[in-house]
Amino acid sequence: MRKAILPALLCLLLICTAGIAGAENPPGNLPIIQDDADLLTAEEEAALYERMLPVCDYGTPMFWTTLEAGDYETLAKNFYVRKLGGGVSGTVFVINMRSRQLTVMSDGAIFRTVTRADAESITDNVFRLAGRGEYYECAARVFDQIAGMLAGEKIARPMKTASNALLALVLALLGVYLYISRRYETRAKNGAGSAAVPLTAAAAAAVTLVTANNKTRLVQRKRTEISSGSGSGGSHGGGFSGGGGGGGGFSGGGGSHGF
Amino acid sequence: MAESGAAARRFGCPACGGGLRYDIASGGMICDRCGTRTGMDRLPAEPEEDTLEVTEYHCPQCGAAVYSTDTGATSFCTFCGSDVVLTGKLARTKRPAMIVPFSVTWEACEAAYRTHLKKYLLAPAALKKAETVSHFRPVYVPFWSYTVEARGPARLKGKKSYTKGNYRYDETYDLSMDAVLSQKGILYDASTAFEDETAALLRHTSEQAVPFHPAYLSGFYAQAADVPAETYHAEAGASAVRHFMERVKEKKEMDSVEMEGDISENFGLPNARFGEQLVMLPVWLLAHRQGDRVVYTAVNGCSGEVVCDVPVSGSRIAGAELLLAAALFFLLQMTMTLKPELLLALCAVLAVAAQYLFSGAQKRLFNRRTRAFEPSFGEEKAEFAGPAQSRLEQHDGRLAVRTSALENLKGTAGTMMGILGAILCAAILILPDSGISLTSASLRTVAALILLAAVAVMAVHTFRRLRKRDSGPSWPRILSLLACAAGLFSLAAGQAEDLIYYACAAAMLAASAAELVIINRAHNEYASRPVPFFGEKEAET
Ligand SMILES: [Zn+2]
Ligand SMILES: [Zn+2]
Repeated sequence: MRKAILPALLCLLLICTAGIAGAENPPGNLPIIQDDADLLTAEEEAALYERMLPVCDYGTPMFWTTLEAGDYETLAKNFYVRKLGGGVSGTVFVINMRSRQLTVMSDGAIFRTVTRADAESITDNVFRLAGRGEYYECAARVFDQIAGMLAGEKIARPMKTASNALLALVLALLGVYLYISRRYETRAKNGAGSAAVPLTAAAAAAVTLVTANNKTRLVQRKRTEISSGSGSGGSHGGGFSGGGGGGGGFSGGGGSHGF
Repeated sequence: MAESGAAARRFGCPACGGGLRYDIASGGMICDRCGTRTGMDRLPAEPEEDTLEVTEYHCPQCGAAVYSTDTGATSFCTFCGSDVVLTGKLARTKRPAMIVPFSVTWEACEAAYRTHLKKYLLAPAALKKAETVSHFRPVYVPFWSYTVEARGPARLKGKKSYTKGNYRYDETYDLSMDAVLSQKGILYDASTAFEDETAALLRHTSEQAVPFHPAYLSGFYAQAADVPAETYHAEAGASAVRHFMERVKEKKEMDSVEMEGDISENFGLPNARFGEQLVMLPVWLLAHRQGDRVVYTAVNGCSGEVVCDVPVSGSRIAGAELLLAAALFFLLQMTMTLKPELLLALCAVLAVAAQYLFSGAQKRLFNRRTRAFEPSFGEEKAEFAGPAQSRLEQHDGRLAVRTSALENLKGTAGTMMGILGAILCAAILILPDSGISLTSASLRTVAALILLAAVAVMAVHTFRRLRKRDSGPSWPRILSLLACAAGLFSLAAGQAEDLIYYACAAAMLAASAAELVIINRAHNEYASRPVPFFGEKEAET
């Protein structure tokens, strides 16, 4: 049983992969800035507009700040669909001041480059700026990174590299230990089930057993009605189609980060 | 060389008068001088004495003793692995009743050993050297072969449960029978120099046993039977009871009623009659010196089964670890981007798994060091003594000690399974259907709290273990627990700086890595034994 659990743990760590393909759409559009939470000054908005332009070659860049309550990723998705429609190439960076989350959502051509994992790395790199209240710099760096990625650059992920290196080392040590301890070490089996027998050097050669007057006498019978477990599951769990309501064909994805 | 003459006279070649030795391939005696073969049935009958005249060899390095009925000088000790000439002297020892002669030749043993080692790429090259392999020695190991006989009425409780329609029935039964039980050939290793665990793994049977004749020892070595026959009475009795219960279960009168309790309670086992015989079983033994440790290999002289713990070469294991780490690193870099929260949760799972393995490895190492499961060896395990387990312990108090040690192991395993289960649940909770994100803060808190509870259970377990002698170094465990607690607490509280998450994850991983490195390096200690000192054994205890 132990043998089954540990490999299962290892597998669990490796299943974690994500990736959903987006739909096609033509390029060319202008940046959209909607500062509902009023985080930027007019000059900052103008400057940010300039910084967002390089992304326009691949889709529509959008920046939205909001105070809306609710699941921040659903909100971001809904905003995206409201502005562009699902499947259209674009990207939105949302600063949600209510839930204090940074979210990058993309779809279409941009999503093929800026994946969910990339979106997480991007927000991961700027959340400290948002935490300090430097919203302009934060947003500008998000679009710089997206533009960089679309132009073929890689985004820096120092934390990812460091944690992956340690994780890989521990997993390797674990793997080698499991291998060595199971394959290189002998272990005598103790009589399973019967606690009192540690090591029998050899199976008994001959057993003779004679019994007479075998009697099994019924002493007591107890009858219990089996409670039907109130349906036990059955009807619910019918499928989460749509994922959050009003997604309207949005087939992209993104990543978020608290700040 | 007076002894040499005596031995030669004993088994003289009918053709030339030279010394005969037992030949494994032909199963008879052979004369090395003229090649004449003599069948075992044509040897002169030996007087049926209680004792046997032998040449006893002592190793000047470790004091180990083996005996033989010939006097060919031996220049290698199978206990400490030293290249020394063993000195022989005449002695008398208990005469075995039966012997299972060697049927595996040195060549077959060598081939079996080499085939066996092919599976172990990380083993040091020295193990496979021809010089090492040439040190295999044929040794007869004495075993007690028990016969247990018990008769009388047996009464015990039984129970049966089944469902029929909408009802579940639980029935209680009284079982009674008049039983006669007789069990033969329950084998236990009668030499303290030979480990019971190895003896069990060799899986000898006494099926091919023939009446003992000293000529079988000619050209071979034998270990002395220094374990009193009573030592294993409790085990032999318990084994007989186990087989008895199994046989009773098969009886159709039982009608799938499950027996409850121990039949020995009333089925006169305390009054059982024990018979025992000394049986010599064939083992090819190899002692390989590695610094101040000895690596032992035993090959069943009947079946060719190889039993050994294979040590690993330090450079090879480090290479394997680094290679695997590099491969995993690239795999992770390509496939995974973990949010710090998820990284933390996964690290906690890993940390708990590492603690579990660490704990188990330390315990096994301790049991190996103290030979905790052997009734014939040491008193180290007295501290394991627990509550009374069965009436059998009256027969031998040490049985209860070992029984509770086993119960301990089982209990720990159960707890650990529970913990791992909880952790798996938590891990699955935080992995939603698509991609990796911890969108819902409350879900994250729940997951973190479950993990925290698992760590708390682990902590209680760890601190209980730390008070025992078999727990190994404590700092990696404490570091790991602290990092888990800090990380999961901040995860449950939410909205902590990422740097805190990363730091906690790094601390957990570092502690886990330390634990794993320690137990990986401890493998070679598990796979070897200290150089024995038989000469000073009395003085030590
Ligand atoms: Zn001859
Ligand atoms: Zn020696």
